[in-house]
Amino acid sequence: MNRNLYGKLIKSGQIDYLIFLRRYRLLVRAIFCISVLAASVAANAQQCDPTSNCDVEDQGGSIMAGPTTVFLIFWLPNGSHYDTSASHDDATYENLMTRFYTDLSGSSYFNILSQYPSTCGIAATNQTCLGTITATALPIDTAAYNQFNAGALGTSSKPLQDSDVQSEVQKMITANGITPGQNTEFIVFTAAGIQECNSSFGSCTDSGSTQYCAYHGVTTSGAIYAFMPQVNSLGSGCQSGVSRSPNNEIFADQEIVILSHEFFESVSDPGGNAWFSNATGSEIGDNCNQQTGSVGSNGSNVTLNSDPYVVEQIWSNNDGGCVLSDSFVSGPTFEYTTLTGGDDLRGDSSATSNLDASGGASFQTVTLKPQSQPEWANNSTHVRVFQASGTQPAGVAITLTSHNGFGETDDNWNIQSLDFKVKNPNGSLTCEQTVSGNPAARLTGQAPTITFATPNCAPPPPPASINQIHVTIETGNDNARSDSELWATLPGEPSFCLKPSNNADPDGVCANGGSATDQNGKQSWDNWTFSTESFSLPLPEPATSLTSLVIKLIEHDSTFETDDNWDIQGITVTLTDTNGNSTTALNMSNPQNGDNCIARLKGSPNATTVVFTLDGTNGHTYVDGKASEAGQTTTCKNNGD
Amino acid sequence: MHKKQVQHHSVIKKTSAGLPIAVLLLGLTACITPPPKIAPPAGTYDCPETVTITDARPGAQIFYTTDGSTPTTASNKYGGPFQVSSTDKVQAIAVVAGGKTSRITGVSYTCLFTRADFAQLIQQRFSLVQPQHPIAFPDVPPSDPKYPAIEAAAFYMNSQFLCPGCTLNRNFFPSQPITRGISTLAIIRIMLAAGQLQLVSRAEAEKILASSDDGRKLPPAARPYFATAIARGVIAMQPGNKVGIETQNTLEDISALLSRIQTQFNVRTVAK
Repeated sequence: MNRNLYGKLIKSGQIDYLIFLRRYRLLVRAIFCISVLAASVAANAQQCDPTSNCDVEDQGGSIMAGPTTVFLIFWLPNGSHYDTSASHDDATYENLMTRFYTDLSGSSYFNILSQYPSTCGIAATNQTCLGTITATALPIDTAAYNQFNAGALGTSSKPLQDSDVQSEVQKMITANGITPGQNTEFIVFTAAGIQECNSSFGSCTDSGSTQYCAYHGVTTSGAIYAFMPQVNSLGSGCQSGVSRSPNNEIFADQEIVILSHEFFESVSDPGGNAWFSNATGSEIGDNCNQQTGSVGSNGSNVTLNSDPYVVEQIWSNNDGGCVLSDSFVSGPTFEYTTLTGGDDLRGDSSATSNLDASGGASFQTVTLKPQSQPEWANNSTHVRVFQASGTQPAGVAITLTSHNGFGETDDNWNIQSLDFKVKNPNGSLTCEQTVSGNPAARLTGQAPTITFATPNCAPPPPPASINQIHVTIETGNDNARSDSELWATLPGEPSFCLKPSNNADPDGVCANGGSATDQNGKQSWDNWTFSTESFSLPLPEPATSLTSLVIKLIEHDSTFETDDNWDIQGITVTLTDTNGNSTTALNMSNPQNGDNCIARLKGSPNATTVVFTLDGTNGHTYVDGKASEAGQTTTCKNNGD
Repeated sequence: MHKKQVQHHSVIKKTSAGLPIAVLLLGLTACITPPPKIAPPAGTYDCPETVTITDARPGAQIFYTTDGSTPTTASNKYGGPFQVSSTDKVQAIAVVAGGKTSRITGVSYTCLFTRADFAQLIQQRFSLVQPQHPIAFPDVPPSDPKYPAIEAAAFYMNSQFLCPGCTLNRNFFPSQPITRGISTLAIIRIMLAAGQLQLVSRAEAEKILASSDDGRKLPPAARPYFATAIARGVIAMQPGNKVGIETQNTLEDISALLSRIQTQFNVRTVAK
């Protein structure tokens, strides 16, 4: 809400008005009707109040991930009926319950649930994210209602108890050899006129402070179940205003409205710990309690698998309202959970989000709140789920767009926290990035966009390239003379000069000459000394391509001088990448114990060159030389000496 | 109409002379003027409740009070049935020919405080505004005088917290008694909406309710609300360390609750 206007609080009788004065014109608007608690509160047609947020939130519990199995338990003692008309067509009633589940499977109506994908099943063609529903009507139980408790007759004075319903579920599980699971629900239907109480609620179907028409829950033995009394007999408060019967069985059609409510809630919040509103305690059916919306001439509001039904509308976070279908397509998703802080997102404002790739280019834009949806009130949380066109955003930019009414200034919106998730099609988490602050961001007309980096979700950086090599060589018990030239060569790279010769001309690798020295000012590498030389690669190379290092001794003998022999006692190779990070690619040495070197190089035709591997295997092999050396692992013997 | 059952126990004692006291009393009552009869008997009623006082003796005049004060011949003279609309004690005497005055008789009435009464009260006290799109309660037609208040208060009263997983009955049940559970939740939710309170955390709620048998059994989502109410002094634990959500509230209970809020949170109230 905008606070940039300056105002004056005036008390007027029982109502306070804020009178806002603008700099150049007087604009008097009674903007807020301040209640005695300094807040206006309102409700709308839903059982929730948009000013305090209708959205259900992910509480972390599991949903019923598809495919879903439903067992219908018809508990109908002899002489009792679902259909209380003269025809007592109970069979049609029961068949319609079962058919509803079969028709619901794969429907767009059922797919509304795909936006609550805690652990959503794999999507398939023409199936919802939650997969198929298999409905099985168990054999009708004609046992009396007091089979578990002599006093439970189902009357107002001797009602059934929830424990009886749970016992019935367990009885049918046992009798039919069923193994309950997280994706299995048992629906218990009782006859017309049966009253029931649930001590957990402290209420009954016909008394108590929260009289109910049905409910779902989990039995003490862990089975997901729903209790479905015949709702027509519970009076107008449970009949959903349904007076026309799309299936010519009004008792069944009224029942299906409540059944749809309970089943959708069972899937999205089976254990009471998955999806509900912290502000109201409402699950996705409660926000639209017994609302069917407009119905056609036959009394139906949806057609499922070519069969007409009247069902309850279901709350959709994505739509900010009660809906009968969902356009959401299953696949990887982006899930935003946004907590508004101390400044709301006005009802006439909209909020969008760009998903940015590495480098900042946007690859997808989603609408968090369209202008048509109610405001996001202070301290309210809103969850939005979108089909993802990519799965590795490097950043999430959120933009506030004000659509000012007459005399209204730009909206300001405080984002207290954002919990951004990327989820796989099966609902598992790919990555999550949370940001929070007080506020984490404040969007205004002047600064309407904030970009939150999402390093947890960004593509991994490409492996850094190597642009420097550091070679340390320990000379053993035979030195490298000042007139000898030493090269080091990486695969595909020009040779580097480890040590020049003072008895040769420059050759393109070493700047040889009488006064030439190595990087440390040395002309010879004496016995038992270390020499470290560093080189830059002409072009950075991936570390994976630097698999070996070749060390070569080049003789430049003076007159009457015999070839030089050089012992390599130890060698360390360190590679430095373009980020400045160094890794040791080779580190090997032999103890200083006489003629105990790793490699001994001589003049041709003996072995002049050794190749060291940089892949961690510590390989050291003569490249040339006589047959006894060439291709062999180096030793401190070269041609036997 | 809800009526409390009142049981009277007769206790017969003997005097030192061996005569039962009851015999002596019978003898005495023959000499004094018996009191008039007040109907209905003491109990809780859906007020206003009509009260009738009768005395069959010819020429008897009845005088009564409704505020618990002692009736005299200067008190209200009974002219026919009258109504009580709050928790009252009706006391009456009869004056028969010759000026003899009967003993005083009295009956206490407690008025049922209904959901509709509560809705009306909180709508006034908190200036709850009308919803843009009213909820169609089958049992509260728009012509009902309490309809505007019920619509304004319904959002706060009709929550799922006490009945998680339920499809709630769409009736408002305006004549049913308001329970402590519903009234507490409504008040806390209004104060939360107004920024007057912050909910305690779920962990804190568990601690606060740990020693309460019925508190521990509350639905998990409801616990922070009741724990907040207790922690912030909006309600107190009942004897036996009970939250008592099913306890029926009286007007006096709700008035006391609102007074506590006013004191505790310095909330201005609107005169009724």
